[in-house]
Amino acid sequence: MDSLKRMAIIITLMEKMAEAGSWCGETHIQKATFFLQALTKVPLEYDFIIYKHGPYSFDFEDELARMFSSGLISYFDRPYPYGPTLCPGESAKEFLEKFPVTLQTYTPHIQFIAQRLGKKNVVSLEKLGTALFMMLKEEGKGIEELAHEINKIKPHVTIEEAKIALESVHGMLEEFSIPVDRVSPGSVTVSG
Amino acid sequence: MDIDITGNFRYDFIMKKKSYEIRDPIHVFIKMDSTDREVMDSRPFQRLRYIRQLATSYLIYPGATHTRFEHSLGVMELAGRIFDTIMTPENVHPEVSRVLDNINNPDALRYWRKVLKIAALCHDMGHLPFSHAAEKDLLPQGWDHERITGELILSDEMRNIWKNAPMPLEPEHIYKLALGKKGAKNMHYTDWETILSEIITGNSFGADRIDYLLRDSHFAGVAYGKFDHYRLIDTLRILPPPETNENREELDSHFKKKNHEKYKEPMLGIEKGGIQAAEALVLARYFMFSQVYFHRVRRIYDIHLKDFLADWLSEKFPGEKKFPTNLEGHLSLTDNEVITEMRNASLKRRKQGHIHAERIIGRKHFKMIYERNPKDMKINPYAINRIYSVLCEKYGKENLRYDEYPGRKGNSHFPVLMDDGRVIDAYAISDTLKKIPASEFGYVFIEPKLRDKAEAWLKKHREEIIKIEQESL
Repeated sequence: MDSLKRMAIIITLMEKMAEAGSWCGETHIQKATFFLQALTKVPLEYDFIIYKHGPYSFDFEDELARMFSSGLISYFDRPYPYGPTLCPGESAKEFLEKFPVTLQTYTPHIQFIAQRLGKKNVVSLEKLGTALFMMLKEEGKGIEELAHEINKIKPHVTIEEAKIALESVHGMLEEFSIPVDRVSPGSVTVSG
Repeated sequence: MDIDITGNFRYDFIMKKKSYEIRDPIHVFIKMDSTDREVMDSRPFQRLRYIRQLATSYLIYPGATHTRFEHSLGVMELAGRIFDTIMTPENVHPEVSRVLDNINNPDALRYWRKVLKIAALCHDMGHLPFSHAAEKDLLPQGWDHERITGELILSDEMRNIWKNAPMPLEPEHIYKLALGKKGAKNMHYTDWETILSEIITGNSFGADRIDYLLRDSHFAGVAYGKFDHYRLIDTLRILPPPETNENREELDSHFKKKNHEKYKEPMLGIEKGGIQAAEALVLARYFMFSQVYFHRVRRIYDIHLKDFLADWLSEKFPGEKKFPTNLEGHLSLTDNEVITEMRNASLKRRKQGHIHAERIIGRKHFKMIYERNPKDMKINPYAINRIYSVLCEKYGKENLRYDEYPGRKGNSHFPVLMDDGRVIDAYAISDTLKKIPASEFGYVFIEPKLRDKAEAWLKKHREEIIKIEQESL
C-alpha cells in the first residue's frame, strides 16, 4: 500500500479509537494497528514480532516518527500517572482530505477494530494481540494448545486467561465478515 | 604460595592463570576469565580487531579508528557490572524477587552471569567490513549482522568453547542474549532472558549503548557522548512496570490483592537518584547522533563505500554479488581487505568500482543538495523521497544519492523506583526526557559539478514537486 494512504488510515484509526473511548497511548495504537492488519486484512504491510507487550512493529514505530515530524500526529502529555496520548496533529485534517477513496474503503474495518478494542487497556490488548499473533503463526492448533504456548512465552498470562483471549479473538474473526462484506464485497478474506 | 611436597615451587600453577585484565581507555580494566579469554582468542572475535566501529567516520573525525574488538570487550565488562548491581540482594525489588526464581538461586546466578558476559562479548561478531555501512543492501535476502552473529555462536568452532568451558554453556542461551528480541525474531524469551538480553541490547540502558556512546565520543574527540555511567549503573534495578494510565486500573486491582500471584513483566529501570545520569545518557545519544553518526559527510562516504563494495563484490563473487554468509567467507573479509582493494581501484580506471573508490580516497564526495526539514514535511511527509526521485529523473540516477533516518520518539520510557516505594514512568518525573527530540536526518546528495545548476532548478520547482495530489473519486 502507498505510504501516504497508510498514514491516512492510521490517523483515522487514532480518531476512531479515541471516539470509542481509548486512551490512545502508543501501545494502544500499535495493538489496534496489528488487529487492523492481521484480523481485518487491511494491507498495511508492517512487520510485527512478539515483543514486551505483545505484537510490536518497528516499521510502524518508524512510521509514527515520520508522522510526528510531519505534524500529522502529536503527543499530548498528561500529568502523572497518565502517560502521553497520541492524537491527530495540526496537518492531519488537510492531509486526510486528500484520500477520500482510501478512507471510504477502509473506514468500516477501522470502525470494527475501534469498537472492539477502544475500551481495552494495555494489559487486555497484550493478551488479545498475543492470542491473534499465535493463532496466525500456529495455524491449525487448537485453543488448548495455543493457550499453553501463550503461557510459555508470556508466563504472566495464565492458561485460563489465554483461553479467554483466544476465544475473544475467535469471536472477532467470525463477527468481522459482516461489516466488510457490506462495504467492499470480496475485497477481504478472513481466515478463522 | 603453591609448593609441592618436595618443597619445589609449582610452575604449573602459574601457567594455569585463571583471571586476566586488559587495559582499556574507557573502563580502565576489563576483567576476564579463561572462557572469556578463549572466546577472545577465537577467529571470529580476533577478526573484530579489523572492523572499525564507525565505518568511514575516521575521514571526518580522524581519531575514530577504534574497532568492534575493544567495543565488545567494553560491553562485556559493563554487562558484568550491571548484572552484579541489579542482582545484589538488597537491590532486588520484592515483586521481582517473587517472580524471577533465578534471583534466589546462586548456581543459576553464576551460570547466567557467565552466559551474559559471553553473549556481550559475542554480540557484534557478525558485523561486515565497515560495520553497518553496507549491511542492508549487500547481504543476501533475509540476512543481517545479527543473523551472522547467531550463526557464529552456534558454529562448531564456538560450540567447542561452550561445551568445554569449566561451566558448560548452552549455545542457545548465548544466542538469545547476544541477539536480543529484536535480533532473534523467531525465538521465544522468558522474562528472565528478556531482562538479561536488555542488559546488553536494551534501548534505555543496554551495555552496548553505554559503551558505544562513551567510546565513540572518546575516540572521535567529541565530548557530547560522555555521561556519568558509574552513577547510572549503580542505580540500575529490575522493577515491575511503571504505573501509567494504560495499566493503572489493572495495577490498582493487582496491588489490592493480598497474596496475589499475578505479576507484570519486569523491566530494567533505575532508582530515583539515577535520573540525572539517565537524562544525560539520552542527551548524549541525541548529540552523538546529530554530531557524529548522522554527519552528512560521513553519510555520503558510507554511500560511496557501499557503491564501491557493490561493484567489488560483483567482481569477487560473480554469482551472488553479495557478502558471503558462510563462516569462512565471513571470516576472510575485514576493513583491511576492503581498503586495500579500494586503494588499488582508485588508482586504476579499469578496475571495478574505480569511480566510487576515487570519490573516497580522492575526497571527491557528492555534496548535499537537499535536507529533510519540518516545513516541507508538513506539506508531504515523504517530501525528501519525492525530491530525490524527481532529481534522479532530471539529472540521472547515477548523479544522485539519498539517505534518511526517520527518528523515533518515546525510547526513553523506563520505570523509576521512588523513595516511597512507588514505581513510576521516567516521563512522570523528568521534563528533560520529555523534551529531548528524536534523532533524525534526511539528505539528498548530488555530483558536485551539477550542484549549482540543480540547486537553482530545485528552488524553482520544490513546492510543485512535494505537493500531494488529491485522490480521485
